[in-house]
Order: sequence, then C-alpha cells, then structure tokens
Amino acid sequence: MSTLSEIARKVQKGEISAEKTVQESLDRVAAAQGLNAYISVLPEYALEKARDLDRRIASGETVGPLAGVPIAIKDNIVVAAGKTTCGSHILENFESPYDATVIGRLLAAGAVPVGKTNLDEFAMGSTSETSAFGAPVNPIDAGITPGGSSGGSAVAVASGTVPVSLGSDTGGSIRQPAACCGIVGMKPTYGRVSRYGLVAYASSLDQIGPFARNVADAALLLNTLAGFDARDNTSSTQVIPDFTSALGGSLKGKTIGIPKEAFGEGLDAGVEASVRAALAACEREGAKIVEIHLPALKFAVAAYYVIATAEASANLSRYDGVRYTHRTSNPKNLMELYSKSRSEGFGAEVKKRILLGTYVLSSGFYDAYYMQAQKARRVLTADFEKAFAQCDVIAMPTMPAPPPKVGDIFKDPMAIYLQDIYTVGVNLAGLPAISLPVASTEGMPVGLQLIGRAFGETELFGIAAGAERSAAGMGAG
Amino acid sequence: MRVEKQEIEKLAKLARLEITPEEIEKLQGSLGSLVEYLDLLKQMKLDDVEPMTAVDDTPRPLRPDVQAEMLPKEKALANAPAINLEHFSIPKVIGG
Repeated sequence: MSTLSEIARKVQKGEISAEKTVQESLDRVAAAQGLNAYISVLPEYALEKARDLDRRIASGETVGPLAGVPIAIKDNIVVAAGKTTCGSHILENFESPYDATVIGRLLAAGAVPVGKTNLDEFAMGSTSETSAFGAPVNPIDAGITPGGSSGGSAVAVASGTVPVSLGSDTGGSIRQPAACCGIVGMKPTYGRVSRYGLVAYASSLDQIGPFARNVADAALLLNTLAGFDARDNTSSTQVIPDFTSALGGSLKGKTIGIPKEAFGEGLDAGVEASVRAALAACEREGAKIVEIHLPALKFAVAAYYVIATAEASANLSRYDGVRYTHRTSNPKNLMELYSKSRSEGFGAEVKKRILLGTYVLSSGFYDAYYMQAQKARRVLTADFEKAFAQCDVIAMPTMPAPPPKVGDIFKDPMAIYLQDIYTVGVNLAGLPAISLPVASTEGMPVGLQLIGRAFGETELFGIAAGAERSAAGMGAG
Repeated sequence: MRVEKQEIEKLAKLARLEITPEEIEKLQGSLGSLVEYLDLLKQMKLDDVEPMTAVDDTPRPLRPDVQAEMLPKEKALANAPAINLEHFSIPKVIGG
C-alpha cells in the first residue's frame, strides 16, 4: 500500500482519481467487515467528498497535502455525517450537528473520512471489549485482543482498510492498541491538537493522535491535525513546526534514556528481550543508551485511575436523557428520568468508573485520593523533567506483557488495569509518545514506546524513524 | 476489600445511577479491589507538594467578545428524545 504522500501526489497529478482511491478503501472495509473494526461506514459521504476533490483538481485547483487519503475516525470524534456512538447504547442514535476541529482540518487537507471505528465504551478500557457493539478482532491473531480503547482504529490500519486513522489517548488508548496490532500509534503533547468535538473522558489527559503503518505517515498526518483552536482553550499557541523535518536524521549523537524502574518486576521476559534487541539496534546506529530513573512510576496507575475516573464522573454527567441521549420510557419524575436513562444506557465498566470517580471526589475521601493523586502527578512530571536533562527521548515497552487474550478483562480486570503502567504516566505529564512495532521473539506483537519532551514531537519522530530503520535492518541481518 | 453496600447505594444516588442488587454485589468486590489498589498513593510523602491541576497553565488568548455563529435551533434540538415547541421536554417538576 502507498504512503500518504504517494497517494496525495498521484491524486493531485490526476494519475488516479480520489473517487477510485476512496472506493477501493470502501471495498476493503466491506471485505474486512468480519473484523468489526467499524461501527459505521460512510460510503455516500466519502464518495461525495472524493468526487468534489476530483472536480477541483480537474479545474486546476491546488488541493491539500492529504488529497484523496482515506482515513478512519474513532467513534468518539464527531463528524457531521452519520452517527457518533462512543461505543455506547446511550449515544447509539446520536447524530452530530457539527464537525470536530480535527475533521475540519482533515477535510481542508483533502483527506476523506470513510467510517467510524469501534472502541471501548466512552474509551474506557484497554481491550475494546467493553464496546456496546461487540469487540473488534485483532487481524494478527483472533485469540488476542486488538488492545484499546482505540482498538477499531488500530485494526482499520493493521488490516489495510485505510492507510491512517485517528484515535484518542487518555492513558495509552492509541499507543497500546498500536502495540497490540503491530502498527505505529502516536500521542501528541497535551494541547498540541484541539479536542473540540472529541467526546470528553478525562479532560486533563485526553489527546487525539494518529495511527499509521510507519512513522513518516504519522508525522505527516500530525502536520494537518496540530494547531491552536479558539474553540478549545487547552489547545496550545506554540508554533507548529514541520513534524516530518527530522525524519531522515541519523541516530548518531542521540541519547536514549532507559528507566531502571520500567525494566524490573512484572515485565514479561519475551517483551523485554524484543525491546532490548530493538534498543541494541539503535545503539549500533550510533545512539547512546543511558540509564535514567523515574522513581514515581510505580504510583502512576493509581494516580491515573483516581484522576481519570474523577474527571469522567463529571464529564459523563451530561448524559442525562434530556437533550441528546437515550431516554427511559415513561419516567415517573425527573430523578427517575435521569437515573433510569443513565442506567439503561451505560455499560458495566462505565458505571464502575463513574462510581469510582464519585467515590474519590466525595466528602471524606477527596484529600486521601483526589488531592493525593494530583500531588503524585506533579512528582511524576518532575521525574520526567529531571530525566530529560540526561537524554533526548525515554524508551520503554508500550506494555509489560503480550496483548491481553480475548475475555481476560472480564476474569481479572485489575490485572489488565496494571498493564497501563508504561503508558499512563505520559498522559499525567502531558508528554508526546509513540509506539513502534518491533521484532517479537514469540510471534506476538510487541511495541517499543519512545517518549519525547513536551512539544518535542519533531525530534521524537526523527528518533522514532531512526529506530524504525534500525529495527528493519535488524530483521534483515 | 469489599465496599459496603450502603456506600455503593450512596455513590449511585450521587451519580444518578440506578443499580440492581446483583450489580451492587459485583461492585462490592470490583470497586473494593480498585480502592485497595489506590491506597498505594498513601505511601507517598507529599505534604509539601502542590497539587497539579493542569499540565500547562500558561494563559490562552480569549475570543473577542462579539456574537459568533450559533448552532441553529432545529439542529440543536434534532437529537432530543422529546421536545415541546422549541424546547427540550421533561416530566413535570413542580406540583407533581
């Protein structure tokens, strides 16, 4: 399959029409229906957008850098076409009256959304199995989950239906499914991409980012997504560099920090061997590997589950059965309308997280949990800052174990939550990070995670591209 | 650890959720093991640390105070489960 810039160049030159490019993608989506990667497909909408691009190209107009690129959108990002369900019964008939800012940017760049992808309900999960519409299937092995919560977006790319897709990452929900499906997934710095039109889960952590088959495509897509948006006051006014500008650079002189705390107890031996082999390949290409310390890392999962669920309990209070969600039939009074509509509409995992969030914010527990977690967040963020005095990027596995097996989340949810150990800290500190597929020793997909400085995406992509090349060299040699 | 039944009922009421006895039974264990894990945070000595409420609190530009384009009323009401003329409709609140 072609890279993004190849597709856009061919479409712009008229070598292939946008309509044919999009139709072929829609055909692949239809052929892969059994993977349940998409909750809804938008054929008429996508073909209309493609024909419009073809008309503009025929009349001599210059179109955007993603002209004719088919893209899949996680179904918690609103598109003013079809439905946005968030993988929940409570929103199963919701039709957004407006586009998310990222959708407007994609359309302006010539990209064409072909469908909305499956996810854990309200992005709460790491296997995509809490979706109210059934779980997506990992194309590598149907017995393992595709990860989550953006599992559908990862499967959409891994199965070749689209070259790129959008996900959202609150505690690892882009990087972890990318690792499970053997593709690239990237979470930008908090504030880099507008969340206007992203259904909120935990607002101090949520960030939209790309899935792709290679680092270059992810960097090119971020060029279109990034930028200040007056409609999201947390979006940053920092200058947007060309994220592809360092892709060809060498690893010579780059320092990769390895946190001692991430390579100890709880790390699967096979995952560790794969990640260490990938890092050794980087070292052969000239990178310097140094040991660093993130002493507060062991508290990251606890701090994350306090902060994320507290924010979720507030954010999800908007689903009240009044304005745009499922409403129970014949409620006796307003209170019953609220509580019955919500209880019928939400699944078990969402209810559990709302209750936990309510618990940590309730009187008597607020200081012990919520306040303590916010303090822990500052300590962990300072750990990262200190570490970056010694290195350009930090490397660790994306997950401590191979992808969870189908059904495991329902047997021992706590064990699955603990697997977020390497991803959640990045969200708490607001940093950019990318997961790259690396050669696996046991046939299971393994992700190498590289973490960058805040707003240091260009360098992060540069080093990630170097790691990608050295990993490829390792495979050949 | 198990969370008390009364505690879950209180939380459900605060969160406007109606929870069945079977759900309560399950939540006592699953919420309990989560809360027990969160107690790990109590091991941290954080008395002198300022809580971190935002990753980046640099001020952002405010929008000019002028009227902007609004969502048309019919679009804003299009997803409502029940409307009455131009309003969202709910069961009677007063005098019921």
